Amino acid sequence: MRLSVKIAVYMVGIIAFALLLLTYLTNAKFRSLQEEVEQSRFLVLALDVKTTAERGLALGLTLEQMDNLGGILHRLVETHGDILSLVILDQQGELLHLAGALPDDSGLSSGLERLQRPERGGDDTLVLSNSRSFGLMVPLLNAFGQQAGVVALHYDRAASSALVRQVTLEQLRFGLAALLLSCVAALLLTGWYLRGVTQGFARLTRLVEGRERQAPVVGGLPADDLERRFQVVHQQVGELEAKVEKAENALARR
Amino acid sequence: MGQKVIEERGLKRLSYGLIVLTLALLTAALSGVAYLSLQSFERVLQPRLEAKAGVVASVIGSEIDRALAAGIPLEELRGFQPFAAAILEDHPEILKIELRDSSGQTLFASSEQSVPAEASWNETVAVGTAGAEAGRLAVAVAPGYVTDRLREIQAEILVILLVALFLTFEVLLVVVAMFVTEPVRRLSHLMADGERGFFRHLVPGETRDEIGRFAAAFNRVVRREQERFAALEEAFSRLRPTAPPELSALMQDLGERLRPEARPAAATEGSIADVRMPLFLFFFATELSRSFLPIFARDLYEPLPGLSYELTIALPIALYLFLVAILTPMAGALAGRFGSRLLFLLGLVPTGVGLLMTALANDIAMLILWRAVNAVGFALTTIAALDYIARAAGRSRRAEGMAIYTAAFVTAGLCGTSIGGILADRLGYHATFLVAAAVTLLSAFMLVINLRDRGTSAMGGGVRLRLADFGTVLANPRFQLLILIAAIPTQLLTTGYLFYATPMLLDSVGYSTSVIGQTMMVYFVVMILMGVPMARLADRVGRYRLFAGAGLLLAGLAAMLPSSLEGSAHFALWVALSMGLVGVAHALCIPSQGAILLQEADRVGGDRRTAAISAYRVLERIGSVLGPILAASLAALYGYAWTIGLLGLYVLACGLLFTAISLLRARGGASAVN
Amino acid sequence: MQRRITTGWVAVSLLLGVLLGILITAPATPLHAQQPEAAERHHVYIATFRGCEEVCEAFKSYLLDRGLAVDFIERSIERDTARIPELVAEVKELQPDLLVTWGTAISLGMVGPAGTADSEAYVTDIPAVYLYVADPLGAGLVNRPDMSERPNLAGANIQVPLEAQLRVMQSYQEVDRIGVVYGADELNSVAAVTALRVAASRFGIEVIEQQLDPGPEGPPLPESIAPAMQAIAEKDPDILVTVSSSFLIQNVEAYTAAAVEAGLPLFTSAELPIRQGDAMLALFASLSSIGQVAGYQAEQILREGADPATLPTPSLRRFTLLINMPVALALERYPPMLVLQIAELMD
Repeated sequence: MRLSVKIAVYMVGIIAFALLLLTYLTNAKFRSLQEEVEQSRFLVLALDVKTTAERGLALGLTLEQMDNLGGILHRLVETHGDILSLVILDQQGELLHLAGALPDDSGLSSGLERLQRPERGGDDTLVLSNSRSFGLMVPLLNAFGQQAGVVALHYDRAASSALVRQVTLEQLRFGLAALLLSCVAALLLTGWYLRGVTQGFARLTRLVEGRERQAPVVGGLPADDLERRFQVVHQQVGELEAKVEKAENALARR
Repeated sequence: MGQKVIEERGLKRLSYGLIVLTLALLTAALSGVAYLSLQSFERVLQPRLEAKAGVVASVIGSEIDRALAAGIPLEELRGFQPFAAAILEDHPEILKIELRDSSGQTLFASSEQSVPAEASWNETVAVGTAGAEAGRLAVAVAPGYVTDRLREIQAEILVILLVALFLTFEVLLVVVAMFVTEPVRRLSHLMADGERGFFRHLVPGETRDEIGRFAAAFNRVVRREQERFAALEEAFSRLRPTAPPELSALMQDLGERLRPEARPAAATEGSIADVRMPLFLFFFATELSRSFLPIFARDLYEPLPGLSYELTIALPIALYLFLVAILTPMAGALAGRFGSRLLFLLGLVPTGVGLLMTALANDIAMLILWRAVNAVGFALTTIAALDYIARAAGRSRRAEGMAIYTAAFVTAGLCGTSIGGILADRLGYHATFLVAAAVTLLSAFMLVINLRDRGTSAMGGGVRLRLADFGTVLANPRFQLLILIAAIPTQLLTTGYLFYATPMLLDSVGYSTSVIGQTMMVYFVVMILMGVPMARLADRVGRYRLFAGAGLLLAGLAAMLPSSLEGSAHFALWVALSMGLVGVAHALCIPSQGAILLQEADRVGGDRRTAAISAYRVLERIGSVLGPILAASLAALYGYAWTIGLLGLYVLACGLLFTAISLLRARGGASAVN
Repeated sequence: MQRRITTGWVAVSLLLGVLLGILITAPATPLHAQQPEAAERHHVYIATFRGCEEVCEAFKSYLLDRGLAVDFIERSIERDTARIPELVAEVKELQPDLLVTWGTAISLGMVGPAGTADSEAYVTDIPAVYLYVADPLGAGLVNRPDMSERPNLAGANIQVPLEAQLRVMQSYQEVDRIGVVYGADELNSVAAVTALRVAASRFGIEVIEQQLDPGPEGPPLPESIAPAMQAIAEKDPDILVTVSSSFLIQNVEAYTAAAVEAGLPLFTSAELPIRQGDAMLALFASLSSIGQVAGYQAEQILREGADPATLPTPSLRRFTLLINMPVALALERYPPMLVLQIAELMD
């Protein structure tokens, strides 16, 4: 393998490492940003339901008694196609109002259990996620700030995973293209940059093999330095050959 | 440096030229990919942002519908601005919402602020009562929002660039040494013989590159002559008794010049460069968890019988350091038995297994156990590397060898902490350990291809450490002084503050592991930039005690910085500054401590000199073992910022004491001379 | 020198030894212990003034909704406070798990004022929760506003704080001057006006007072309402506030209609003036939430065995904001969007 190729391999290795990290980092950022955008879109809807429900709770109505909620949930599920389900649960996990089809692995009961842990701030939204859907669970607080139930919204992650897949593939293409280009560039540039050294050694090789006469020497590259010294060596080889020949002749005469 | 056989400047220029070339390519590739990615993100996300803005508008619209249904005329709506502004607070990508009447006239807006011309207005939500449209809501989405959000990872992208920069230096210097410098050096040795007319050796390393081909060509000539000579010799031996004296003399002369001979030492030794890459990768693997290990331990905490909380969470680090400290001297003997290459490989086994199992650890006991296994690996590997370097460098280049070892460690520290932080932030702690295990595997691979062990372990295990050596060191007041108030405080600050308390402190304030890694990286950056110049300065000035004292004082002061700035904005930056200053301080005092140690050891003299140094090195590790334990227990009482402050105070006090004693002694010495 | 340094060694080793000792012997943090839930039935004795009305019903359904197994023993004194001792005797005999007392009179009558020692006349050894008591501290039922500090009594604050009332008015419209019409003969009205003035001054709001003309026998006559309203309208207040007054509640329709007549919006912190009269804006605790918050206290005592003396007294944090839209439209005082968003609308 040529010297420039050997060195270029390592250069490309570093570039590949940095590209991999960069692609990974930006991709992770994209995923989180994308997720955040999707999530906040649905959170707006869930919080809107929460506002309505809490108006009723302040009135002292129980969630079950709020007949208007069912209609609101159904309307939202109809207008937003990617909502899988929108439900309101009480603290026991009983489904009070349901619109859409609740995914089998909705994780509602474990989510509810997590929301009810005393160390949790009462007003935080809980995000559930599995391979097929995302869920948001927003606690509903009654007149004295105690959790009275939960709005849970599940939405399909198919669209957003497709988007992520598309962007990831694109990024991989960019990365590979950049790597390929830098591969070619590294080979060409190191070849060009090391031409003094490689040509010098090639010349030395030819000289040693007797395919070339003495060449003029210039510059400060290692090959040149060696070449300068090689002239002496070359002479020595010549002298040695002469001596060997002389000895051979002497022996042959015997 | 032996024979200065190569045009050194030319080689250096060659390396730097290649480094510049790599950096140029790197920057071009990274910025190209970053730009294209950004384009693609914007193209994909902008419509999603607009969809979301539509939903926000519909929520606002439904409130307006409610108002209209209650009988309020559209023009008489009150308080649209604060209402809409409050909703938009949670949606920074929406610049403005306007309520327009049916003729398109704007009635109300969420703010007075003007919207840039390139923002797109979206007017899909109608408001009204019972199907009668009274007006529409118009929403403007910020055009550069995605780009703005990607700025959040600016620092991390810069870190990648920086790491790539240091990596480029590390790798290309090695590569040039491996592929150019070392072969040329070997050639050069042979040339030196050739210039005098001696051709008894072949050039090792007939690789297939240009240099290797030249070597092969050269060897062919040599071999041809040697074979001719061998034939001659055979013929000559048959008629030796009758040979004329001038022919005998000629054959004698030719024999001295051409008879094949075992290679001289200088040509057979491996090069230091060969071990540098696997060593770097090994250190990189162990450093990946630097920025989050204490946090990881804390997260895995569960009560262990007989151990307090503080001790338990400090144990994964403290026990590791303890084992490294006691195993390292023992591993020295193994290097003699197995040879450094095998020992290095053997060391990588517990390292890789330890990291892999740490990745799978789900409780603190497992973590402690596998960290201990890692410690065994670390002790074996580092000893093997040091042994290899010592042999490859020979006595003459010992200092250069140590510098390469240190450089690999510090550069790996820089790359490992920062990259590890970034990875842990996104992959999680467990997966980052998996990455580390994979890097260990890569290190083993590089070792197998690069490191050609040339059998015999000439150096043996060196001087065996005896218990009595500890006594020698402990009984000597000069050693006591150096260990107690210089070496231990320095080590204690390194492990207690830098490696233990920093992640915990920054985590408690809410910083991500990525930021923690970047903060800790500063220490290593400073060490790389300042380490060699400071050591040279100390050598030139020659007043090691002054440097050591000043380093301790500066380190102490620097460590007190975070506690005095607790709660301030950009706290991580202040911690980073403190890290940097500790780095400067350590660059000042660690080499000087080493120099003082050598001076003191010379006073001990005799055959136990080296043993005394080893004993000292073991004893100073007391500080590094105690660092995390002390930091953890102080933190339980005073919190992390104050703990660091207290450690700083302790180091400062030691620094004052050290300086005072040194000054006193210097005066005493001077008066004695007078 | 040598001795000094050796002493240093000793000191350092001692320090480290002590430190390690502390570390090793320090107790590990105990695990959070979870108590298994017993599925026992609770007996709850409810004493009411005139049967189980909305607050009492809300209390009961709260406990049942929370999944507690409760048997209720309901007793009403049928508006006759003389029957309270009967109930006390019955409670002492039945020994329920919890006693619930409705209103200030029954609560004081059954558990006695704060500081009551063991006594035949009061229930002092069975946990009790008071229900629908407007001002437990003022009534002398409890020792502190944040907890009862009585071994067997707990309850909740259900008052709408004056600050919340003023804030609602301010968010509805700009308020610099508030008017209040009251009769000087009712002491609670006078006290309420004083409290209002103190609270309003913190908001930089001026209070304009208009007293009702006293009637021939002291209390004002209903006919005095309209002139008082006209008189205060001339002083141009931004909004009128209703203070507690039996006279005005008795004449709530005339009173609120007079305000509309005078072109003044009327704010109230009671439900009646807006439901039955023409008040424009009300902020009040709904009867159901009053029952629920007492149920919350009862739940903690029954389920977790909480100590009534130290159980924190919760306050209602959300009140119902009700806007009488016909009145608001007639007065052309349209509610701003932020208020609309949280308000119930009456049409």
